[in-house]
Amino acid sequence: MTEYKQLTSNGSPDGMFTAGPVSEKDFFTWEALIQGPEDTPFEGGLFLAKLTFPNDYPLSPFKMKFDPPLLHPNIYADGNVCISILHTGVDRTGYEQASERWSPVQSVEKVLLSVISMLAEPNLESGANIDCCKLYREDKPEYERRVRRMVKQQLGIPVDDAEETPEKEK
Amino acid sequence: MLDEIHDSDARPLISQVQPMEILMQEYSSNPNFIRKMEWLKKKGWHGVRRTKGDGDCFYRSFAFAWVERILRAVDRDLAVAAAISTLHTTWLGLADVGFDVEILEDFYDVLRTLVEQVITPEPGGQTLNASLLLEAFTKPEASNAIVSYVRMLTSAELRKNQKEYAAFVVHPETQESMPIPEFCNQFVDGMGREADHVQMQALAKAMGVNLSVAYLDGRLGQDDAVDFVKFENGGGNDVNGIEEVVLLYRPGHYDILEHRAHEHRSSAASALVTPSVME
Repeated sequence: MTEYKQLTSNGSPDGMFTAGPVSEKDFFTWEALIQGPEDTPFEGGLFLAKLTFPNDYPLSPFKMKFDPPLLHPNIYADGNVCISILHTGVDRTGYEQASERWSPVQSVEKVLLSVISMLAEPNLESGANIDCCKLYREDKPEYERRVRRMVKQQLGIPVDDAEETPEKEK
Repeated sequence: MLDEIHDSDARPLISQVQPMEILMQEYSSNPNFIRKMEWLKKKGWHGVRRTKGDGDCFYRSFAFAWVERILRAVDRDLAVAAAISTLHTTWLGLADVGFDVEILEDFYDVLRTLVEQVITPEPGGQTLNASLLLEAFTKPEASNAIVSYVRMLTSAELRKNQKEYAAFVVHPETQESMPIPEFCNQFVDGMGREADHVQMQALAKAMGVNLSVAYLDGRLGQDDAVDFVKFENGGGNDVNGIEEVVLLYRPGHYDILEHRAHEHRSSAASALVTPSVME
C-alpha cells in the first residue's frame, strides 16, 4: 500500500515502467508495464506482467509473470520470471551466489529495475527456459532475431517473413 | 535427533518452558550431551523454551527473551523507558543506512507496542503478561514481523560500522571474507537464514544488552562444564535494568535457556503489578 503511493507519486525512473494494483479492491494483484531496454533486442517493446503478492508480503517476495510470456533465458515458458531478487532463503546449488536476494527492504521498484537489467543481460547460470539458454549460448544472432520478431508480434506489427531467415515453428 | 530439530512444521514458533529432562531424553544415546545438561541443571538452568528450527531461531529466541527480560525487570518503568529509547534510536538508524523505513514501520510498531504494553495496557485490554507474550510470539504474523525487524536492526548495525565488523564477516560456507552489504543481503536481511557470531554480536550491540550463549556439544571439558560465550555491552549482568539474554546453542539451533531464579522473579513481578491494576 505504502509502496503503491510511492510509485504513483514518484513514478518510475526514466519512465521505464509503471506499476500498480489492477483494481482498488485487490491490493495483492498488480500489473506492471515494462519498456524493452534500449540497445537490446527487446527495444521498442512494451511488456505486461502480473505481480502477485503473498499474504505475508514483504516477508516473502511477490511473484512476477509476463502475460503474454517473453522469450528469455530467465523466463519460464508460462511467463513466470526466475530472478534471484525474487528468491528467498539460501540456495544450496551455489548459483546466484553473488546476486541480490529478496528481503523486506527490497521493493517493487528495485525488482522491476533488476528485471529490466535481466532482459538486457540474461543470467545463463540459473536458466528457466533451457531451450532459450541453449539458443542464446549457441546462436545469439538467432536468439536476438526471434526476440525482435516476438516484440513485433506482441505489438501487432506484421512480421515481414521475406526479410527474415525462415523460422522453424515452435 | 537432527530430524527432531528440523521437524519444523510440527513445532510451534516458540514453546512453553520445558524441563531440561525432556531435552535429555532426546539425547539419551549421547552420554556427553547428557553430562553437560546435568551440569547446566546443577547450575540452576532447569529448562528451555524451544523455538522452531526454521533458520530464524536465533532472532526469535533473542527477541522473545529480550521482551521477557523487560517484563521481569525489577524496575519495569526503567526497563521499558530504556528499551523504548533503544528502539527509537535504532529505528532512526535504519534510514541512515538507506533502508526504506516506510516498509519497515509496521514491523517496528509490532515490537514497540509489545514493549509498551509491559506497563501500558492495550486499548481495552490488559498489560503484557507471560502468556500474552507467548501468544504474541506464537502468532506467525506478529512473531515474524519481529524477527524480520530485529534482522534489519542487525543488518543496520553491521552496515553502519563496517570497519568494526569487516574482519569477522565471512561467507558461512567458504569462510572467505565478503563485503558487508552483500553479506547482509544474503545472510541477514531475509527470513530463514541462520545467524552466526557476527550477527549475534551486532544484534546484542544494537539493542544494548548482554547476551550469553551456552554451547552444548559433545566435547567434554573440565567437570563437564558448558562454555558460555559472552557478548557484553557493559553494565555487568544487566544494562538499564534489563538482564542479560541467555540462549542455549546446540549444533544448528538456538533455544532460550531458563534459570531457576527466573521462576521466583516472575512471580515476584506479578505480585508487584497487582496494585497498579487495582488503581
